[in-house]
Amino acid sequence: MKMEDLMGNPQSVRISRIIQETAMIKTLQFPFNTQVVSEPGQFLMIWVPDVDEIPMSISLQDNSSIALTVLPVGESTRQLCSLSAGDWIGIRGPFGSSFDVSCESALVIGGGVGMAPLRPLVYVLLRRNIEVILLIAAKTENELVFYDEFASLSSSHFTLEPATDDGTLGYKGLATDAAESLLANHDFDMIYTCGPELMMATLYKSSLKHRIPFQASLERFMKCGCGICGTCAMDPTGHLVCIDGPVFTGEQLSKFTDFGRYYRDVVGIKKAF
Amino acid sequence: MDCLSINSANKCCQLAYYEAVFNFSQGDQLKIQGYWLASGILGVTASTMLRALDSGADAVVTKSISLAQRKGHQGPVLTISHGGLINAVGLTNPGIDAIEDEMKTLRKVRATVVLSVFADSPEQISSIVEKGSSMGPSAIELNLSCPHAEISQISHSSELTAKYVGVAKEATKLPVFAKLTPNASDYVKVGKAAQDAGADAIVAINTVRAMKIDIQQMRPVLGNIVGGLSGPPIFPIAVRCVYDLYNALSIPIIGVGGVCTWQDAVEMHLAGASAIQIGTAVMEDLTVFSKVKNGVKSYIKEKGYRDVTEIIGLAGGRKL
Repeated sequence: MKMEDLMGNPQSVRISRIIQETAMIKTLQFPFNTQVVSEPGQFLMIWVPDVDEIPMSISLQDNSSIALTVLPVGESTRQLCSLSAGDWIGIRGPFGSSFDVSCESALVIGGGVGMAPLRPLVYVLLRRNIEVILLIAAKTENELVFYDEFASLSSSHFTLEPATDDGTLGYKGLATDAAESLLANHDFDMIYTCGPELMMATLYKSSLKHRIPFQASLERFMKCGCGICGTCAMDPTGHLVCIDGPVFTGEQLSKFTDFGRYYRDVVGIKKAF
Repeated sequence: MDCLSINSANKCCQLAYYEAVFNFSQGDQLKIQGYWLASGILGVTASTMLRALDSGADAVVTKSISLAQRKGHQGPVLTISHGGLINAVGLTNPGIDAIEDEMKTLRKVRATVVLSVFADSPEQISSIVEKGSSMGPSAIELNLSCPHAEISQISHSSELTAKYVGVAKEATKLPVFAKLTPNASDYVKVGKAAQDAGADAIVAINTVRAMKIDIQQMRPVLGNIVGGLSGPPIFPIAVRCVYDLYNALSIPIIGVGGVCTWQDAVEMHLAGASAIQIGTAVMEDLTVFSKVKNGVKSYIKEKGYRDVTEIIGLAGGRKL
């Protein structure tokens, strides 16, 4: 493989469209070479000019464009959310593992902006006629990401279940509790999730209890995105979130002593969640 | 909770894992031979270094560590040009104290680890070498030459290089390697100064100063503007430097710079490298170490030699 491919063929693109998803969260769309097709769960390294380069999940790809869905949480994401159509960003990728879509009945659980990589996943699952229950969770109704989009989706294979901490829409309580009640009443053969790691760790325990295969998309600090800087390593196996992940199976996660417990900060110091 | 609260049960579990997976027979005595993971690649955590060793690396060199933690440069810290990587990570590291847990893990499985350190004063070098040596590495590599940080100037000067090597040697009983830059006009003189100051080996070369400009945005890509080029494009530069150093010095040369294949490794041995470090090529394939090792072994056999040591420097011949 050529070095350029391994490095994700860096290119600069102009943002073509910005969609306000919630009060805080925006989707940025920009042109993308259609010869490279991303798989659900993969990410791009995004060069935010004058700020930094950060990994961002791909939240949709069509014939001519690709999109990111961004919650402003740090300097880079704040800057990304302040950009306008026509502004330049640098992109490289797609990188990383993707969700394995071999199943028949899936529970998909997205916490907050963790919905980003799950959005293309749901569409791929439905194209394969897989039964999907999508649990979109957030603190409150107007923070649910992609709720309107999925609420208007008409498919006999698809059910949407919102959950809010404050009960403003759907299940009142935590995503993990909402998931537990769905697991008690349905037969799933796969759980997919992305969101806060403590949420995913609790969901993983539920998956073990119900003996259902599990896949989760993890987030760690990354500098290279392509397997050389080592910033995103998981202990003790040395799996790299950038190339071995970001999507890991329950079996892989069971070997990570870090999962749900520790992450490494930007200089590499291990910190508890 | 902070990083100190990692419970002992978790650590025990990690260690049991390492001991089960890695079966190291090698002791602490480091031989300057074989194929090592170069500094700056996957060298922050014990887990990734063990993965490199498990993939066939004979030794691993840690990422360069300083006394205090260091954030490094603004991103992008990495880009590509003409088949080579240009990085300006900026020596990001957690600081020597935070590396102790990783070193402990490595020591317990008797991993062969070279601790790479840097500092911007001889006093700090002395202090970090002393601290680092107590953590049980097999050798100390002095990074005197990162081309996109302040310390790059050290290996441009014979006097400074000698000073840093001298204080490092006084601070430790371990072998001390000096990693030099190809960007200095007289790197052979610098190499001699390192040798005279007591360096046990020279590591050549660090990355080559380089930059990349994005033609759409019409601006430099790297946050630091200038970075260091690594990978295939710098291989011939590394061969030239190793050749020159080998022919001028009497201490071993550890060759590094763009080695991807066993043919590259043979070429670098012929130029004068006793051991070879591999970095950028790891991006394509972590098993590059064993592939290179096996390829060199076959070549040695085919050429009628018994051991790789018989071909070191054979292309030039040391003029002593």
